[in-house]
Amino acid sequence: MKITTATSSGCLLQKRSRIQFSLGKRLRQSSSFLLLAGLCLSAANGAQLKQARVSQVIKDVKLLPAQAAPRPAVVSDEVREGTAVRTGIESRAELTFTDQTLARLGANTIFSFTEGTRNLDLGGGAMLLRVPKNSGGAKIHTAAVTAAITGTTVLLEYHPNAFIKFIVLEGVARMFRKNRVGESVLVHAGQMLIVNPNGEGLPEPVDVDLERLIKTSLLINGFPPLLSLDLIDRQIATQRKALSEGDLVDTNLVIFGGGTGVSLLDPTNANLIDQANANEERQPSEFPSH
Amino acid sequence: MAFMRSVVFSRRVSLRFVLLLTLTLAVRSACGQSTAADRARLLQSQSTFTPPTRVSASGVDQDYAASSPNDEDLGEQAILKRVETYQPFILETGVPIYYTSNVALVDRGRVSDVIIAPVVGLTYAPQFSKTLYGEFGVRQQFFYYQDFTSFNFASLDVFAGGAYYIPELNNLALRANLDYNRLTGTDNFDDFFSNVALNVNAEIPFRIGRAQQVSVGANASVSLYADPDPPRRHDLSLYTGYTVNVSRNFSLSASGSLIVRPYTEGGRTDVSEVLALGANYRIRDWFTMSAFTSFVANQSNRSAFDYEVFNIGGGVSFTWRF
Repeated sequence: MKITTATSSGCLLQKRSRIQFSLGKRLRQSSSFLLLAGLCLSAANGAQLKQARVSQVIKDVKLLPAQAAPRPAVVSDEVREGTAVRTGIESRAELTFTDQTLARLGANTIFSFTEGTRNLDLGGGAMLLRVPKNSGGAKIHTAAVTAAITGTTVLLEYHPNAFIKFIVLEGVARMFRKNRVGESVLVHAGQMLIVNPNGEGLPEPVDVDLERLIKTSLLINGFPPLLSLDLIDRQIATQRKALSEGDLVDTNLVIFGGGTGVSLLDPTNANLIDQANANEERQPSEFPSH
Repeated sequence: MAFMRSVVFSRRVSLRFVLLLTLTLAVRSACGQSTAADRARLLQSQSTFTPPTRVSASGVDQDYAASSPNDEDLGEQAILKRVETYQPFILETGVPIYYTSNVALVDRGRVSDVIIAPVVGLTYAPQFSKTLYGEFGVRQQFFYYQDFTSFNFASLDVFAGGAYYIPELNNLALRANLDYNRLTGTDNFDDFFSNVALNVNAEIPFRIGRAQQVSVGANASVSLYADPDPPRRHDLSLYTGYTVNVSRNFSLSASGSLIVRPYTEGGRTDVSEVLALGANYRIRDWFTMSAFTSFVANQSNRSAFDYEVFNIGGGVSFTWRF
């Protein structure tokens, strides 16, 4: 009986071990498949930023290969790691990566990227970056600050030793200081962050009028329509609604383009009316009263 | 003679021609020099970089970053201001579950247990001025012991007070409230102890960058009334805390406090040292998961009340502001 039990126990054990083995085999197969799929996906993602193609050239745009002399860029030129792109005065360029990540460079800008990663490097100047959703995101590096974006359209201006300006047009981005643990800020659509590259902290982002920005930016208007324009329009509508409901208010403070110099506008023309009234008072009456 | 005249004439003509040629060349040369000078001046003016006035090499103009050639690339940034709406009501609920090494808080014969302590609280914190807030609330917590169910109890707190912040003194926060605490069974509302205390607190935070903060504070809880009287006591404490936001959603905290507890009857005085560590992961603005551990060492002038206890656990909490 004991033997039978033992035998049956042995059979049961054998069956269990077979089941476990088969289950283990399936699990191993499944996990191997998942691992392989993951590797393929990551490899596909990694390959996506191996090269870019010059899709627009406006005026003076040069490719600066590391091992060769600079040469003027033309449409359809391939840009790989080790080749920086530099734009001249009043010049702009557009680079399209294979995953439809789009980089538009403003005037006097120098830009490069690291092959096999999703790291973009802005040496100075202004750029628009549009990263499609589900493409693995990207990181834009400057000397002091890094911006991490996933499925986002952003504007970035960087002048070494002066300032870094970062505006999110749609989506969300995280801006963080290099070598400072936890020093990061989440920047939402319609928000702008201006950072001193030589400082230590990060300020709070401020809201900016997206509609006005879109209408006046050459990095948007000077090129064909962005694929993420619908998403930006949605953010503009959200902002309009917040303005009409009083959640956002106009400050009459405007930065006209680059830099951080803020101008105070006078939309009611109150100053002009005051001046006009003062002039009226200063002018002698046509029929002076006696 | 005629030959001589013709020679003289031809000499005069050639002289005139030479003079004319010289004059023409001189004029042309002068013109050429003028054009070259103009061109040189023009090129010079074009090639000379004239920095904008008041702009330093670092690109700073009167403490602002100077405008750049990317002006039109970036577009105009009209700044909007977000109107923050203050939400004075806070509804909180949570379920901490933790292991305690010393249920009865005794020195000898320690027994451990697991405690489930669901809590719910509602606070109304109206803003009276920019730095003055009211604090009125009610909070109920139940303590269920897994094995030693006879220890089960519930605690009700009703409090009213306020908080005042002084930005000029490094955001020093001053709080005071009157707290009515009632300890009851978990299945009835008959109190076995009740206490009215005046709580005052002063805390000064020191921010280290955006992500880290060290706080130093003092707390006094003066019992005004208790029923029954014998376990009535005051709590006086000094504490320090440290918080680091590792990421947007994940933070770690550590704190240490020294508490002196003089009892109003029998001359008993306890001194406790508390060390606590915590980790919070915010899944949503209203949903947080946390883990915590603490160690308490208590010394009393009545040695029977000396004890040490170690707690470790975790929980979930939900917070809504409205």
